[in-house]
Amino acid sequence: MAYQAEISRENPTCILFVIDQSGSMDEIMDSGRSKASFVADVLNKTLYTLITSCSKSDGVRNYFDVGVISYAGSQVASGFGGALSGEIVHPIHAISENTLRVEERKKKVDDGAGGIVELKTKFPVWFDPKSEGGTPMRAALGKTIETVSNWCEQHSASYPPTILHVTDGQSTDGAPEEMADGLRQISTRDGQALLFNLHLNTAAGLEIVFPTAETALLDDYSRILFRMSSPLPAHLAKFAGDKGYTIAEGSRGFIFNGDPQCVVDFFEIGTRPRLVADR
Amino acid sequence: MSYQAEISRASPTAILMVMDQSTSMNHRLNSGQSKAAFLADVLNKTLYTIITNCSKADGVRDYFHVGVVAYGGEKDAGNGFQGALGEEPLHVISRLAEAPLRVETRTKKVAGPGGDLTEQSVRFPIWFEPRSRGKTSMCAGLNQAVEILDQWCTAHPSAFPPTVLHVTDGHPSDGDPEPTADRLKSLATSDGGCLLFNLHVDAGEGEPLIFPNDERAIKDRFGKALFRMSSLLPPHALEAAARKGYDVRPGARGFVFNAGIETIADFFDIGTRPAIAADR
Repeated sequence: MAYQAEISRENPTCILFVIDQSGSMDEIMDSGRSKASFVADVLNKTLYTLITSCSKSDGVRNYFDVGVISYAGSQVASGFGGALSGEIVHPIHAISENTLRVEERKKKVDDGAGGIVELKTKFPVWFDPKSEGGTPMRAALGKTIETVSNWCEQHSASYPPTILHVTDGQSTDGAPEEMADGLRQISTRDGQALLFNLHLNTAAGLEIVFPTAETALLDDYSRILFRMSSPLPAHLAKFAGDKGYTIAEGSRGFIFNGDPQCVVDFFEIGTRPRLVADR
Repeated sequence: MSYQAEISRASPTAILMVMDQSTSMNHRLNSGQSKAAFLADVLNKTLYTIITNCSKADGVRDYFHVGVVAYGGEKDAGNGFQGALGEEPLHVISRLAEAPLRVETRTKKVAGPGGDLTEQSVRFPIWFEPRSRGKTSMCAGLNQAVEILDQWCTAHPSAFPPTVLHVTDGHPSDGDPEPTADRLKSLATSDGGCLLFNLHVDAGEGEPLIFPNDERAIKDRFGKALFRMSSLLPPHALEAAARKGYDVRPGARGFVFNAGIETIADFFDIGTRPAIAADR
């Protein structure tokens, strides 16, 4: 059985975010914010949650190796800055120690007596939104393959890597499908790398979540991204089901045009192996 | 011109809350509380605010008749008050002031000068209890509102017309509520039609759509229906909304879709604004 390996400091797993930062990501969503800035917020929050889930009394335990690959224009690079920018993948404790900055954000909270009150919260930032240039998806997946295969060679007994890919558009450097096929072939003894895709393109139709077939997808590019996506393994399918999503045999880790909550859930479901580490 | 009648003890107005208490209301909000519990808090606070606004040196003046219809649970729809208050659908506000179910001591978070939160102990009267069980019998709930306010309008033909705040999170399980909403809005006094404001509550990260003026802004089919069911915001509510910083356009409806905690609190505040007229 695949996807059963226990995640531990000896056998960490790898979570890789691949983020499209092409020009079209500046499109404004219903909420009045750009896709790029919303995705950056969700990613930063997800990183913080991962760190929190690894924080024990003795510090941040290295249950995860985490990386961000961003792509736009002619560039495929680490999405991290500063001390983290040299390598793609870093142990989670290194990430916890190297934020770009910590912002102070305001959040409205329940005041406990039927009202609301403004609370100042710390919001650590590792990844800044950007939206410029073309969509070199093929090159980005190439870099992902290189990163993931190096990692798997060194961690052959680990829970296999999870890749969360977020894009809104069409690849501008050739067909990405064969690259994705190659990526999903990479494996540890515990199973193949998991590739989950989030496609944000409001022009191309309404929300479709964890579909089992491409027939409902109207847009050619969505169909390609569907085919590029791994089926949800049993534990993630169950988690998605518990969150209220309709999951069937063969549901893929693919979301088309999710609303903001759905985007948040995509990141949470995709990084779910963290809870195994909570035990 | 409608919605100009002065609200006085001789000519009070009516405020009726219609609360969805179906099972899905037990979903947690970002704040960690269930939707039902937070909404009950906001409703109780609103009642307390109305009472405070009517409190003058000579006591609580009866500018308002207030009621709560709750739907879901064993009965399709019923009185949201319990005990002695549960026997009548509407009460003069001074009666409400005398008969809370209990008064709790709450720890309220208050922002200090530096923005840090401090805790304060406050007395918090409870009239309405959270509940979340059963189906979304919205038609039954709105029907009951029609019966109550039909009688009220007959008895108060020249009063400021009744305001209905309807709060729901889901799709009705007992049919199409639009005809009932239309009947509700067709009830009138000589000062105008009964106002129906709808609040759709969301537990998630979705951005709220606040006082929209175009149905096409809403993707959800039932969200569109709620939009159509909602009255245009009358001048006093437009003004209250604008003062809270909302961008209200011509044709804005008394409707919020996907409301989170902040908008929920504002919705109740704006919706019960005739209170301000009575302050003079």
